[in-house]
Amino acid sequence: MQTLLPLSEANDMTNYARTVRAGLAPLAAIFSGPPNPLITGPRGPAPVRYDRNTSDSRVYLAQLSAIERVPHRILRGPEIQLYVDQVMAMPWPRWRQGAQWGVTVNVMFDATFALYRSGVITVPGAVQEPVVLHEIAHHFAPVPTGPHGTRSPGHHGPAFVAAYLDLIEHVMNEEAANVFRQCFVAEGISVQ
Amino acid sequence: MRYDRELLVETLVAHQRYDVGGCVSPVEKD
Repeated sequence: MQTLLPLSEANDMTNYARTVRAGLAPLAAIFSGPPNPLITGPRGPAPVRYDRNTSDSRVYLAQLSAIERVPHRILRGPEIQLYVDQVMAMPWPRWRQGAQWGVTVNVMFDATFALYRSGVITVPGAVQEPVVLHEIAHHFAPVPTGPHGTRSPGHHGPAFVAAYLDLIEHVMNEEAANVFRQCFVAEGISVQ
Repeated sequence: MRYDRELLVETLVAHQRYDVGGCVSPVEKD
């Protein structure tokens, strides 16, 4: 019988395979064993790479939780501007800054988030009602900028939260506002 | 869950940090 490899070389290959297997053993243990807290990746939760203790992150997390629990409309295309016009036409108190001026809606179909800047709301083609109210709340509670265009803290501070809850309560309903309030409190945001 | 919430919030927080004058809000994508 003809062997494919000389015996000595075959032995070498066996030893090589054995060495490789021994070398891979720790890796195999990692990938087949219980979840290793030192390894982050597909197996474990993604590491948190942002500060959870800022008003921005707290408001975002609270809003995402609340939207899941509150029945809401999905606004599409041209009806977003109509919705915003209706909200702005409501009898808001004069001390609500910005309520005297209209808000322009810019629908950008490939937008991945909603954005408010200087009286213009940019939204994707379909957007949830509370997200539009979030942007109108920025119109009602403008953020003062510091010297040289620097940002002052409080983008999503107490003035914003108060305006947002006010909008949710009067445009949607009181039950929705209560859910939002609970979610804000759960994230450590103080509400009135 | 239809989206990665942590990644979404991380992206928005980063955007918010460097976008002077812009205020972003998360949008749930289908």
